Parts: sequence; C-alpha cells; structure tokens
Amino acid sequence: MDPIVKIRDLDKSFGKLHVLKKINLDVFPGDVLVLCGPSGAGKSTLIRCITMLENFQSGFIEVFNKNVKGSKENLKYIRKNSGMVFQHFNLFPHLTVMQNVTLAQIHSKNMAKQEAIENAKMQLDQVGLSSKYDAYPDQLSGGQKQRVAIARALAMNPKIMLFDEPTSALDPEMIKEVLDVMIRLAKEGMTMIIVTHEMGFAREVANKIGFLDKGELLELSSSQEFFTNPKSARTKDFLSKIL
Amino acid sequence: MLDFRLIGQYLPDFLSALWMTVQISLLSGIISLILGTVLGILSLLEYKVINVPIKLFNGFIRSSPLLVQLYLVHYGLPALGILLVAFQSAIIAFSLNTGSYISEIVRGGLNSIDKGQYEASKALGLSWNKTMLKVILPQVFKRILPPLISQFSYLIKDTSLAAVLAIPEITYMARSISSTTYKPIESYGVPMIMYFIIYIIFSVASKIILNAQKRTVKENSGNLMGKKRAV
Repeated sequence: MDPIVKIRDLDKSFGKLHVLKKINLDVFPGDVLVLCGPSGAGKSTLIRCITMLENFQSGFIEVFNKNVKGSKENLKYIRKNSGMVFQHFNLFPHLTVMQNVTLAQIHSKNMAKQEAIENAKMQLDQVGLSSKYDAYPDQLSGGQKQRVAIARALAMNPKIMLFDEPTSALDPEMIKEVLDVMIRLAKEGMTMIIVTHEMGFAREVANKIGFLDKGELLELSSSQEFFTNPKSARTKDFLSKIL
Repeated sequence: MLDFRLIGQYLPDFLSALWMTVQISLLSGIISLILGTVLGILSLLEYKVINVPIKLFNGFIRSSPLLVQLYLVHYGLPALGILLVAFQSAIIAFSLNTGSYISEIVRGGLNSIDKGQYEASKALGLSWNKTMLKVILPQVFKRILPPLISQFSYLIKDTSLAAVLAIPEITYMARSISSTTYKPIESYGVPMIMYFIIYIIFSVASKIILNAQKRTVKENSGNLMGKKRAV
C-alpha cells in the first residue's frame, strides 16, 4: 500500500534557526498519527510543510504520490484533498457559519450551491451545530468555532485531515467537545495527523506517535510501544513529566 | 438685500452646473476606488519592480498641489500626443489623486488582516483571486469604510478646481455669473448652499451605511448574550 504522505530527509531553517532536521515519515491510509513534543520542537512547522503553508529547503514531501513542490496543479490537488484545522480556527469572520462551510466547496471545488449547502448541513449536524447555520463566528464559543472549522475542512471531502494544535487555544471545558469530534473521525477511518499536547487523547486514538525535539523526530512508534516502552531517553524524560 | 430674481433667473444654469459636479465626483470616485484598490493590492506583493514606482507615484501625488497635477494632465499629456478635452483631464487628475490616497488606505486595511485568513484560504484550495475577492477584500472594505468616506468628501470639494479648465461645474458657473452680474453674494452664495446640500446628502448616506454595519455587529453580540443565558 502506498503511503498518503511520504516525507524524506526534510530539512528546514528559519534563518539560522534549524527547525527541522532530516525528517523521514510515512503516513498510510487509516493511520492516526499524533505528533508530540515540547514547544518549539518543530511539530507545527512539520505539519504545515505537508501542504506547503510553510516552505522548506531540502528533502521532499509527497502527498497522494504527488510532490508538493512539483507543480501548481499538484499543490492545488493536494490542498483540495486534504483538510487543515488550525490552532486559532481561522474562520472567515465576515461570513456566517453556513457560508464559511460552503465557500470553498463552491469556489474551490466548483460544486453547485444547493449541493454545497446540503453537504454543509450534514457536516454541521455531525459536529453538533445544526442550530448555528446563520450565526457569525464572533457569536460562537471557542469550541464551537473549532467544530465549524472541522466541518469546513470535512465538507471538502478530504482524504487526510491535518490538525495543528486544535485544542490549544480553547478553555479546558471546551476541549472535550472538539476531541470527541476527532475521536469519531478516527473511528470512521479518517487518516489524520494531529499535533497536540493532549496525551490522554493521543493514547486513545493514535495508532502511531511521533516525538519531536529540537527539530528531530526522535521516536516514531506504535501508540502502545510509545507509552510503555519508549526508545529514546529524551522521550522517557518527556513522558515522565507529562503523565 | 439678496436678489432672488437673479437667483431664479440663473437657477437652470446652477442646476446644470450641479449635475456636472455630481458627474465629475461620481466618475472620479468610482475610478479612484478601482485604481486605489489595485494599487493597494499591488503594493503588498513584494516585487520591487512594482513597489518602487507605486511609492514614487504616491510621493509625487502627496507632495504636490492638486492644481499642479490638474495642469500637468491637461497641458502635459497633449504634449505627449494624448489629446484630452477638459472633462477627461479633470477625471484623470482627480482619479489619480484620490486613487493614490485610497491605495494607502487599502494597503493599511490589507495589512490589518490576520495572516491566518490567507492560510485557511490556501488550505481550502482557494485560488489567489478567489481568496482576495471572497475572503480578504470584503473584510478590508468593512474596516476602511470610515476613512474611505472622508476621502470621498474631500474629492467632492476638490472638484471645484475643475473650474480652472473652464468646465461648467458649480464653482466655474458661480465665477462666470458673478462676473456678468456683479452680484458676488448671490453668485457664490448659491454654490455654498449647493455644496452644503451635497455634503448633507453624502454624510447622511454614509451614516446610514455605517450604522447598518454597526447594527449587524450589535445584533450579533446581542444574540450571543441571549443564547449564553439560555444555555
């Protein structure tokens, strides 16, 4: 089986700061990969490189067997078929919830408006926001905003979902409602890469866990192995502090 | 005392002059809005080939009197082989001038948009054009509406400079009536009132637009509180 995401010798620097060092990673269909590690380890940068929200200097990334740096068409295809959820939601504040979810379906996937609305309703109902179609983002709580953002990404019918610290900007009591949506997605077989500090959640849904520190992928193993028998000393140290 | 008979006699001339002022203002307003938006967007793209000329253009427009710009367009362009009637010269000069100021307003507005908006659009596969049209510019115009409105109110008054090119707008008409009738108070008083009326109409319209915007914001937050209480 071909991997959905294939990363080889990925290297990236911000000026003198070396943020990603020779990263190698495969994500297969159905994988739920959690990337964890201390702040500044390069987790967010790594996930943002996958759809070229962040450029990189050397190595290569293939998504759906297409090189992200190959051509404009490749990148467009990759972006249309992968969903991204951000820490700060990045909803469109001038549009209603419904318009947020339909915009890209209509203007990126060229879907008919009525079809897009039907699909949006389905996605919003699934994340428990059937009463918020006409609300504007600033009328929603953080947890609701993030669920809209997830619905917006899912409405594009992606083959993979990327989550960049989806709960880090949320109040503690809103974290669960977002994680529950992600757990359901994982159970439905969605391929996911998730950057998060929620280790309890990672243990529950991830089949693979990657641990990054100072730009290096120090550990990449199955969830069970990661928690019970970590290889690197740095991972052991990290786990002992957070568990 | 005021000579109302004189005012009555010249009223048709004043009204046609008023119509000319409105035409110049509207046309220049629309063109400058398009020009300013395009320049504002271009100046954000980090290409030196584009940025340096735009900066120079804005510098010249801001540093020189509009009157000089008007003369330069009207007498300079024909010297380069571009023949213009006075009306066209006025439209070009006013559009370039106001367009330059609007480009700075638009640039400021674009700068105030969070980069997450661009990232979300990219991640959703939206093209650059669609991102601008559907995501960025609607937010920008909402934010820059107040400075835009004040820029347009300057434009309306500036159109009086078209009088130096013998365009029969309000100010030109006032001067010519004054010089034939020797009644300066009536001749210039009527234009004052006309500019005042334009100003009132324009500012009432602006207030309605701005209030409509505020009301949607208020309704939004009102809803939020209502719903929070219900929960």
